[in-house]
Amino acid sequence: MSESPQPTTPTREQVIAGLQAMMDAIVADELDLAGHELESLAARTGRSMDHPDVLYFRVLIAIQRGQSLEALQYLTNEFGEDAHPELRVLCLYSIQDPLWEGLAQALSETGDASTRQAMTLMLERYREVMAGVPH
Amino acid sequence: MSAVKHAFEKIGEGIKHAFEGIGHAVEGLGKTVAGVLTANPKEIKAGLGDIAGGAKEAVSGVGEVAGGVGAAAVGASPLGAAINAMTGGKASNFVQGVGDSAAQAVNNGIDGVGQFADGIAKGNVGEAFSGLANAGQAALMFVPGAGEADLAMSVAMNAGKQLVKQGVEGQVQSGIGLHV
Repeated sequence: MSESPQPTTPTREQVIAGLQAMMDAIVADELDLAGHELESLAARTGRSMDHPDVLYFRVLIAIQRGQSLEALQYLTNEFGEDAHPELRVLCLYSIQDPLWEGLAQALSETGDASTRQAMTLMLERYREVMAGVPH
Repeated sequence: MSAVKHAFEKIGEGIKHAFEGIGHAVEGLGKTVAGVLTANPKEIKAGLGDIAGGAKEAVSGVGEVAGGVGAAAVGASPLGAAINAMTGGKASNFVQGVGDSAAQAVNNGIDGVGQFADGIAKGNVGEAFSGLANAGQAALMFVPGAGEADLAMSVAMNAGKQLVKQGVEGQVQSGIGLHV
């Protein structure tokens, strides 16, 4: 993927507004718009589309599109099987690949704080669902 | 495909669920922040320190709610729970290092009184965050890097817009000649 154009020093309000627009679009399932907003946000903040911050939301949008397998393949092809394991968990879970659980368990113990929390919550919630706790 | 699609849809549901939960917390905070501003309007003239302190205190309270993403994620799908927890850090990264906005000026105390009052009275900042409890409002809750002033102003402009505006109008029009 090509690098984004030079950013034009956005204000916080602009960045937050961009995040707002993107998340609103994701929630509304307006995924083309979400992708557009993400591209704009990336360009404004000088990030490539493969920057980890951007990649997270790209994967989110891909999952929401029903393209988890494609996202997983992209992660593998572009970054290797060891990169972005937290994103791989999301993709693996989405395609119902049981490998997600072991990877999530490992990350719940060794990832950064945010990842540990996310994986722990995911595992806990999964076990609740499996135990019949409604959601 | 339908089963997989179902899983995808759960992400959106999970996000909505968390946003709704945090939105309620934001609503409560909005009243607090509006109260801070309207109950102590002289602080606007006197300086930003106490206001920022009050806002920070209020934000800290909700921070615990927002920090309790797990609580907000209860009832979400496993995938939704994970996303709820991860989105904050990722969104925060976009804001880190971005400065020089009206809200940042408040944080720094640059041209504090006038700029702060002007921003609130004219709704410059609030226009960017219309709609309480929408996804963006919740997103802001997820963004520690946004700073207390960003959050307080955003919340105040949404939840306590009229209260704050009235309070500022009353104090500022006569105080520093600002008309809205």
